[in-house]
Amino acid sequence: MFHAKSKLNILREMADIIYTLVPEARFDIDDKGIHIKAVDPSRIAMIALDLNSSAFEEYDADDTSFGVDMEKLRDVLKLGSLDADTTLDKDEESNLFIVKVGNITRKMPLIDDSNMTEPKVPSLDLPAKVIAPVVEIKKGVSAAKSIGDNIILMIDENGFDLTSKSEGADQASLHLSKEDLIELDVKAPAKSTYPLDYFSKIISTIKSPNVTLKIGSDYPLDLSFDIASGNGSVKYLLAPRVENY
Amino acid sequence: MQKHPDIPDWVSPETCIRCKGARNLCGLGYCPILQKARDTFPKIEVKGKEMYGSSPPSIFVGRYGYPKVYAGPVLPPFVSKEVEVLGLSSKLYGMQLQEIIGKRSALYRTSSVYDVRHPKEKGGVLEATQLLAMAERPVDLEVKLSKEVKERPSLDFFHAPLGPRTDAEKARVTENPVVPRKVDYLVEDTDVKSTVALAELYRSGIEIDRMQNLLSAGLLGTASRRKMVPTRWSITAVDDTVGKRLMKDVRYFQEIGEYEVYENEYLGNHFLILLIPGEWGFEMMELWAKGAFWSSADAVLTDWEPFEGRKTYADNITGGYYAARLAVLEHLHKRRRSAKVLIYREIGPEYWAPLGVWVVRETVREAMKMEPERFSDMESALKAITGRVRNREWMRKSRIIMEIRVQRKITDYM
Repeated sequence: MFHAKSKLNILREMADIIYTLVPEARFDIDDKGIHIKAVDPSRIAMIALDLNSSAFEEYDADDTSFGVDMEKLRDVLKLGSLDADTTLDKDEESNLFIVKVGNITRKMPLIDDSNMTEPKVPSLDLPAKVIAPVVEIKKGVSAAKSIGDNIILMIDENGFDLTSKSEGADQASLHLSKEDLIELDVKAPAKSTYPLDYFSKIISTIKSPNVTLKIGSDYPLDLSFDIASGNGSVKYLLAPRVENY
Repeated sequence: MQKHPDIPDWVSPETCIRCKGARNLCGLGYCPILQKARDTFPKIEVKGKEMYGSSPPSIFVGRYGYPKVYAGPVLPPFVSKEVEVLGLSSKLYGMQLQEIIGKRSALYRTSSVYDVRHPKEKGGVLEATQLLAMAERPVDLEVKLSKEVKERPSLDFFHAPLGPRTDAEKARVTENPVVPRKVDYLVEDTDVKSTVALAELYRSGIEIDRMQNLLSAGLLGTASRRKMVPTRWSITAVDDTVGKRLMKDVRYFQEIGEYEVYENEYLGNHFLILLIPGEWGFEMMELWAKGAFWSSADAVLTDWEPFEGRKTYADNITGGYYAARLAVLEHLHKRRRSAKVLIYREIGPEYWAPLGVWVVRETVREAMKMEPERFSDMESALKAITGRVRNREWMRKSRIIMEIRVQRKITDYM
């Protein structure tokens, strides 16, 4: 069985994050909370999200898993104010996922999750790490958007750089010095290029004030941040673009 | 780069390839290249003001003056059920270029001016037009013209060649047309959106040409939104709508396991189609070789879309993009497989008059029926294609190839 009750904003945050990557996702449920792992159809990015039971006012669950249509879930979560009481239930008999938002009840069929295999989270040894204020990163993304399709992330002893270059001479970059960052930890300087649309979509969903970014040269980006005011976390991995083939 | 002699100096050769006589990018208000090809055709005359003939069935809705446009039946000045082949692109496929132009030139566009927003009229030219659009087989009709005709046929990049246009005062269908039940049902149903109606017509096996007629005639869609659609726009609208429907399924089919290369050539249109193992994505590249219809730029143009699809019009390749995409999606849908698709089309001087995007649709459809050459890696597949085309640098501008080479997968690190 599965029953959980929370405020709408907590669930909307989760649904928005998952929807940046996949239209359907498998919810793995245990007594610790909801766990979702997914890889996007192009296999460029993956996400591992944990929403702890402490994020809920009521939480009652046996170990179970089921597939959810994230678009439907997002749509119903638009129908209430951010502090509306929201409950999630899995109805074992009818095989329905039932979402109640205030006085709205939305029932949706569960999606067969038998071929949604759980992706392995790669263990990456990334030599450069920063913890940065999300507002700054969002500013950098806005500056990059009008320039090109990719961004170059660079971390060295001097801080963090986010750069976008056009095919012509246009360029925009954000520089965050050591003082601007909450943490700077460089075992070796690193620089890597990533697709901007993926990066910008995930950054736009972050509600937490800070985000941790880890990179290696021509290696994936490991981006992690808190959700539900610290009662959960997201790890997002994004594959690099490597030009010199 | 050498230019077509009738194009002014200030128009770049690439401009013509992008425009294909359809967008007035040169600002001249007419297309000198189309004009010249058209001038090589003899003028066709009809004596008298009465026409009696069999429509394939086929109709024409113009776009000049939109929303007030010429619309009406298309028919030759004679009765014969053999005209059917002239209205079906699958039947035109295989004919020689001269034969297509010759036969289609006898099809007159008889028309009156209508406001596309009011596709309803009792007893007039429009009613006859709509009856033709619904018909499955050739239909005999009488048309009263307002004057005698002496004009040259018309060429267009989107639709197949057509004979002269002439003003119709009256039109009367002289037999009971055979209307497929599905068509009848969807024309009557004014609560169904046109996109849904098109998907249903396609599923029930109605030909693309017939669907274009129905959409053009203002017979599909919800009551308040029914409009006539100029023939040229309706062609792309049908290819795009049906393609999008198939894409919904194809995206989630299992991916193919090997690289597959398909090839076909028709009337100087040489197609190489590469299916790549991976998630759905589509790119079409085009080279109008030196001496081909839209002058001599030798430039490769491309349009593409990623897994999620595209939101803007494919304005480098235009209508052919949607026709080719539909043809490949049909193939994948039938196989219940997904793939990334790269199409490269080279157009040689043998294609001296544009015949319409059906050439692209049918040539790619035929290509996909053949047995492909299979490869285990992309570089060998690309090499095989390069060995068969004029431009050895063809793939340099490909977005899909660049993405595959540059963008790593997160699954590579698991």
